[in-house]
Amino acid sequence: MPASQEVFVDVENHDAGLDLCFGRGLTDGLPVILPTPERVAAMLSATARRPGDVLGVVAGRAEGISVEQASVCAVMAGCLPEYFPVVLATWEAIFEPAFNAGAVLGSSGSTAITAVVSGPYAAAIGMNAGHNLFGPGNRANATIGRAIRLGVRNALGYVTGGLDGSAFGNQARYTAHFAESTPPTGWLPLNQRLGYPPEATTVTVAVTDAPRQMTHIRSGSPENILRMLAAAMRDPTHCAAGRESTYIVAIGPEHAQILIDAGLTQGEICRSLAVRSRISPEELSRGGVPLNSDRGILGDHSAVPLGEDGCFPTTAPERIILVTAGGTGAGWSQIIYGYAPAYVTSAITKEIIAP
Amino acid sequence: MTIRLLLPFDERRLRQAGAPQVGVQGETAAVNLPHNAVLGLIVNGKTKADVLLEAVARNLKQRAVIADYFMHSKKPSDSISDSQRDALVDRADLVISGVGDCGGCTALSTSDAIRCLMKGVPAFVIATTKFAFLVKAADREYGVAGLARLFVEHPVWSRSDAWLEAEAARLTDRIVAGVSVAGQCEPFVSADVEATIPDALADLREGMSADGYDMTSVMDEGRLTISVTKRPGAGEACLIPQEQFERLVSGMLANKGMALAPEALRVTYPGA
Repeated sequence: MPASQEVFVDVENHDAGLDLCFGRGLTDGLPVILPTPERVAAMLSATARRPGDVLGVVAGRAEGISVEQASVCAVMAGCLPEYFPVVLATWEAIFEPAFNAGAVLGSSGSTAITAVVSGPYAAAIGMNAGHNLFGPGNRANATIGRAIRLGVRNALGYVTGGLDGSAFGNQARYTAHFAESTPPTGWLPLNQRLGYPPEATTVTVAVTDAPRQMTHIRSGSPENILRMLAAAMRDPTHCAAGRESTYIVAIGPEHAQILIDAGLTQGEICRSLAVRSRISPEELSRGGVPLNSDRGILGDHSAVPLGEDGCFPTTAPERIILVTAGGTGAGWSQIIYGYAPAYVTSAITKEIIAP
Repeated sequence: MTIRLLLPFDERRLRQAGAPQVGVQGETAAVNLPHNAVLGLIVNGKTKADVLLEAVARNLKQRAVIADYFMHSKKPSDSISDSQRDALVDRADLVISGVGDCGGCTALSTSDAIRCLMKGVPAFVIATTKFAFLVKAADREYGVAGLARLFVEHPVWSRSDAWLEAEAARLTDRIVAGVSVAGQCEPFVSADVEATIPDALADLREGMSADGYDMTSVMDEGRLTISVTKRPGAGEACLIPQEQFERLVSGMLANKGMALAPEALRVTYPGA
């Protein structure tokens, strides 16, 4: 932000404050909670970190975000103070070098920052892991992700006309935080599969597209569920196909039960999806993807080598973030496509430090 | 009742934490090179960026602007590290970074160039016209004076060798217009300034037109040439003296943040 921007501003009334926020481009287009010093102080009370601590600076750039800036954005987003530890842990993930914020946040490819919270703190602050978890209605889900997006805009400068080159954008760029539901017996939650103790809560943050719904209602077959998921993952019209990308696979309750009844572990499912989603140059070509003379994907993110099976890896077992989520229904799951190959960006997990 | 707001601008603390801070941004650049200058190319891995940049380097060498060049290749999604930057600026007298042709890679190519500039090495960034707005945004973020921006038509990856050679020749001319060897500094006007000059002078052009005079502006090798021509029947009493006109143009551009060196402005005036 330019040096001339003042930190404290006095306004006549609430409407004038909103007008100021809209006028200065500080919102995502929706009204915000006015960030009074009192509200910011209450937000900061949820962490032991000092307001002036810098959570990180984007590699290769001049901009970063302080704890205080993050708290201001959290207030504006509508967060309660108890949400703030999730916000802070998300920022720490974004500034990890492997996340590569400098490359992905301003991409013309309309990248969203999607995060799944796993562990007991998610339920403690009321995050939604069930019905309509990607939709409206839950304050924690809606405002935590929004706090991040407001920070990306206001502190890091990724706004249209600024550093944000997003050609289309998508709805997940408003907010995209959700919680993992408790897996069926026999499966482990994500935090424990990543090596954290059951009492720890983690946030896993990835650069993604918006969620896409998978429909599988009638057959009850685990084989068909895996085929369906893999078929969606290797969709050649998405830039993730054949590029060893990260995927978030949110398995709905019915599908989870079918898979677990078949004796499949989560690790087996990830390995199966990684194999089944491999895609040949010919299949990419049939989907309209241009190839170069060596049958590689024509383009600048095509460094993933062709395997001995004559196929490109769409993902890898360790790059599939498999979680259980969603409400009961006819039989739905969701896939969230990653944005770019492993050498560009990776999902990052951080432990949430509860107050 | 007055409400006090705490806004999310906190650069004082970021500055204290070591984020880079630099001086006031300028819109003009003048590059002074020593004899036997070495050019460092930061090639960002986009398809045919290496071809275009190396062609520019060869041209500059042929025209004796530089004695030699070297290439630092990276992935489009990477920034150069601090140690890579230090190695580059130790060896190079001039840096050219590019070619930005997407959102992420344009911002990174720009910041790579700026980080070299901040170490005292003159730097150019090359991007495609579609992403010129991101070059400006990244430049504005740093607020560094002196980054020269050059633009080529989008895209680069699909272009023929002939097109690339022609663009390299054009870019070379632009760079040569902005550099001088061993102290003969030439004025240089960056491409985005060039694009906004007609707008900045619109009021003057309309005023001249109302008095019966046509005014055109052309950029050539970093210099702005303004031609004023009299239409039939125009009254000579309406025409201000050339010296006054030149001061007026310079003042209008300066007010728009586009101050030109005196040598960068040429005026062709009726009766001159």
